[in-house]
Amino acid sequence: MRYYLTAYIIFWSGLFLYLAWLTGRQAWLNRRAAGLVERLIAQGERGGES
Amino acid sequence: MSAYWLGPLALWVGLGLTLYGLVAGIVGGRRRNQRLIDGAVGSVFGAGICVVFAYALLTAGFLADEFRLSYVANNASRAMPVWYKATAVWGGMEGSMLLWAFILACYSMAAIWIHRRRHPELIPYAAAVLQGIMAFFVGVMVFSSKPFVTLDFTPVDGVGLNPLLQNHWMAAHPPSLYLGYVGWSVPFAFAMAALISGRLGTEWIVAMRKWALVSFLFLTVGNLMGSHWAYIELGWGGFWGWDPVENSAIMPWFVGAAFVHSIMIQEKRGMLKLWNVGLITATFALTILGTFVTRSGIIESVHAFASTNIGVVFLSFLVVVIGTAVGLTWWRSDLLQTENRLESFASREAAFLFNNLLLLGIFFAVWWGTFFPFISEAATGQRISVGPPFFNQVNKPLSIALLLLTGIGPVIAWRRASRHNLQRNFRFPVAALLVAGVVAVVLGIHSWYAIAVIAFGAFVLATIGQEMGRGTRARMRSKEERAPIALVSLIGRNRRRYGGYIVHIGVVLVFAGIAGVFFVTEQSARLAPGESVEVGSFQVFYRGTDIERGPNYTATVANLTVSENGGRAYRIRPEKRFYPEGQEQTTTEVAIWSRTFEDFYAILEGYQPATQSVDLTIIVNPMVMWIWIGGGIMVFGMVIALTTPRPGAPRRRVVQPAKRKTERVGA
Repeated sequence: MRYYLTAYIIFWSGLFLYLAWLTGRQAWLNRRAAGLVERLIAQGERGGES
Repeated sequence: MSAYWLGPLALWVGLGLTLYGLVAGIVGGRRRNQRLIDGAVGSVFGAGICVVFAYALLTAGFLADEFRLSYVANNASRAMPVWYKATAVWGGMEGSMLLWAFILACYSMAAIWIHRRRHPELIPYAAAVLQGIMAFFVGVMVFSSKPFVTLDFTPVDGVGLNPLLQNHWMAAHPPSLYLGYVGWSVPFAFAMAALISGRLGTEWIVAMRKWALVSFLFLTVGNLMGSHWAYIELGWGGFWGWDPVENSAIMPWFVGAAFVHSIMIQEKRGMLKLWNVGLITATFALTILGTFVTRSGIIESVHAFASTNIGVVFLSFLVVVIGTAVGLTWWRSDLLQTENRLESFASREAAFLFNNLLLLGIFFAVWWGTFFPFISEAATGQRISVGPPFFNQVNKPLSIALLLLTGIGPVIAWRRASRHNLQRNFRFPVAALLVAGVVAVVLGIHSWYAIAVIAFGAFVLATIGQEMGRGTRARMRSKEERAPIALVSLIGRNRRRYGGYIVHIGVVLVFAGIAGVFFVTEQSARLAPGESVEVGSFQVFYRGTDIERGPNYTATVANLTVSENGGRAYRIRPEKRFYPEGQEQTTTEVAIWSRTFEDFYAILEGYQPATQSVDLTIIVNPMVMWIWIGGGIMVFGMVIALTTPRPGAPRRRVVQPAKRKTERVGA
């Protein structure tokens, strides 16, 4: 029984860590994309002024 | 029509009867008072008739263009075809609640009628739980989402139904999905009845197997229809976008699938009793959660959710459902002890347990991705959204492992598989896996997921083919039947087992269809009349544009001619429709040339009247057809499994030797 419990805990821990990593990465990608958009807008505005 | 006061009256009477049935069922069951039990049973039919009447009345209002009813005025218009007027009943919140209650009424009456003599000890409590669920939905319609509110004046015309919903797939999708959602109420009610009565053997499991399968079948059909609607109506070229509404519909499917599999372990080995009660509670709770997500406004924002009371009402009901189920399970935990223990990793019990674990893992990943944006918004004020890449990435390894277990589970031995059993059952499938994998690599397929789907799909098909082949050959020898007759007889004699195999064939084909997304070709083009463009092996020629009038819209239609490698040409006509009534909405009607291994998918993005040129997006979608074919085969397999005779029911013909053989290795 101990083996099954171990397998069960490993499965859920692994899945949880994987989900946490993926969502963390998604948040980082979102921030990067938002930063990129801001930079492009600022660049466009500067170009418009010149 | 002045008879609409009858609608609220029917709902009020129905609410009274449901509350009476809830109390009478529990008290009557505990005190063994037959009058109260009969009263509870009668209340199911009384309340059911009230709800059916209210539903019929609202439908009549839609068909008769009764715009004095606020709900009809907001969801229909005179110009709508009659078919869409009838289906517009569930186009908004109030009608959706009434559809839920209507289907629950039909299910409750059928379940109580069928099981009243077979399971008299469970009936009073099952009736009480079903009435409790009905009381919630009828209560919502009496106090909050009222479908029969009348206006002070009668508008000349209504606002009309959202044009995106005016599609026959979308007309059929909600009833099918709701038949699946609401169907889980019956096994949940009987599970709670088993907990209250203390009868936690296999009785409730055996009684509810077909109800669970019916619900699972409709949920499958509902999800397929919704997916097909998204593919042909939303015009983005895909069939699943992982948005919260789609996810809400698929989450109970995964947990329900786990339940449908794990009840076999309880039936055969007396294991997983607690697990099964947990699974059916989770499945039912997810059907409520699905309705809550769709109807509470939480999709837009947690603030939108907080500003409406319906979300709080649903959440409270969800807490009551889960709290009651957990409390009852705690109370009866001594009766939920397993009768046997797992003996080996290499056993069917273990394969089914891992299958359950993976299905729940997929569910949890989808739940996490769906609710993480809301949780992050509630916690930090900033919504961190996760898109399709998140869901695809997390589900790839889990779904591939699940596909592998689809092949292992049905053929590995119960309790402990011997080396001989493993060699006998898996030598050929493993060879098929290796050959298919090598062929996929040699053909130049680079996606590891596509290679794994091909290899593991071949493994599953080989296990099923081997099992069916062995059974057929045995019948051909013993009964001297011809191969097709032997195969049909084999399936007919153990429909549950072979129906399950057919479902698994469908699953493999659906996987193959999904793997096709790795080979999509997409191209955008602006074409003037007489111009053409090449997309992959297809040549697209633009002939010109027509303006056409529909019953309640005007359409701009691009006339395209498509041929492959200079072969026979086909005409396809993507459209943009403008619905002038109501919100003045424009919809995109894609044109699809569906073929066995490839869909040619054309979207009319824009039209310049001055030059008569059109902006097109052309997508070549491989294997999509196999999703619908596989889905159809899954449904066919479920129907076969459903026609299994009830245990104890008289059989027309029993041949003992064949029966022993199927029992020994059967699912």
